[in-house]
Amino acid sequence: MRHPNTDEKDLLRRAQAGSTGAFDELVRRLTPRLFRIVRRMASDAAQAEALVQETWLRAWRALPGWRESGEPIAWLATIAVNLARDAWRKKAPIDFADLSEAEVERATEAPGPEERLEYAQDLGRLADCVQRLRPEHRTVIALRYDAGLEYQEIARTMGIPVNTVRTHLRRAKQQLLSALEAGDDRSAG
Amino acid sequence: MTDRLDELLFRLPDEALPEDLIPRVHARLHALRRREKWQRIGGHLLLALSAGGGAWLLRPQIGSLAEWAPNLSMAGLEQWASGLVASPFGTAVAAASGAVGLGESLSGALSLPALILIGAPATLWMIDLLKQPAGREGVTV
Repeated sequence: MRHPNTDEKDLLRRAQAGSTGAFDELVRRLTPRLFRIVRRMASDAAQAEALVQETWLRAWRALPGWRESGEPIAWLATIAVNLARDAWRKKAPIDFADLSEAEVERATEAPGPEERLEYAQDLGRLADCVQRLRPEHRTVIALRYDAGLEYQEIARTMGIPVNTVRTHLRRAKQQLLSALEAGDDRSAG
Repeated sequence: MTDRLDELLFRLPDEALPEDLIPRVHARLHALRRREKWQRIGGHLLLALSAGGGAWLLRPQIGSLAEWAPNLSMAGLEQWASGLVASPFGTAVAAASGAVGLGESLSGALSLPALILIGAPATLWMIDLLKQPAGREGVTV
């Protein structure tokens, strides 16, 4: 799931050297991925859009301090996570996402119609479960599965130890499994 | 089940990117850059006014300054510039105390404020110059 892209690093280097065009190109390339990550963490689409915009503005101001140690998307995710934390401090976390049926169906590649339906239902149920997780668990899920970051990078991004990342992820997955199994029991009954 | 959960999590449905989000980000970035540019121009103008005011106050002391000027050397300036890179605050304080010493050696009540009015913007300009990477502005892809 990793997309190591030296071009993006090169763009960031050129932006750091003063190229506004390189930074604008980076906005074009990375906004779709950034939006996906932020949307998973944010309470609604409007908040996600605001967070994405603010992330880019902060990134522009923080550009002189960027170091080449990590992927540009991890650097942006760090800024986005800090902004999201500020937003969560100001108000109680709210629901994650209201996903349309079309999007749930789009993600399925299972062979038969029944399996496809079941798969889509699982995805839909899982998305519902993710939206009910605690903010830090949602963030770990977004960084691991939407951004495709390794544990070390997630730890750096969130400013927490790697073991805490593992703990958050394990607990999040336990909760998701329990919720999915409970759903299965209900449908079987 | 955990493997299946992993697989599902990697395939979680996501919302489509709003069409106008990237243009909106670009518009806000352009506005921010414009604001930064005007703030920079305003800051430089203020510093230039300060330096100009200081020079105007020092007009009667031109003779004394001409006597002091030969003490300046290229090596001394290089040493000062490298000190500014290594420790901007310490060097700025040393420069300020040097300006105080020079001000005391000059006659006239306004000499010291005049030197501060010139020295402060000069130090800030120098720090700004050293902090900016080459071609920070005006470069295009």
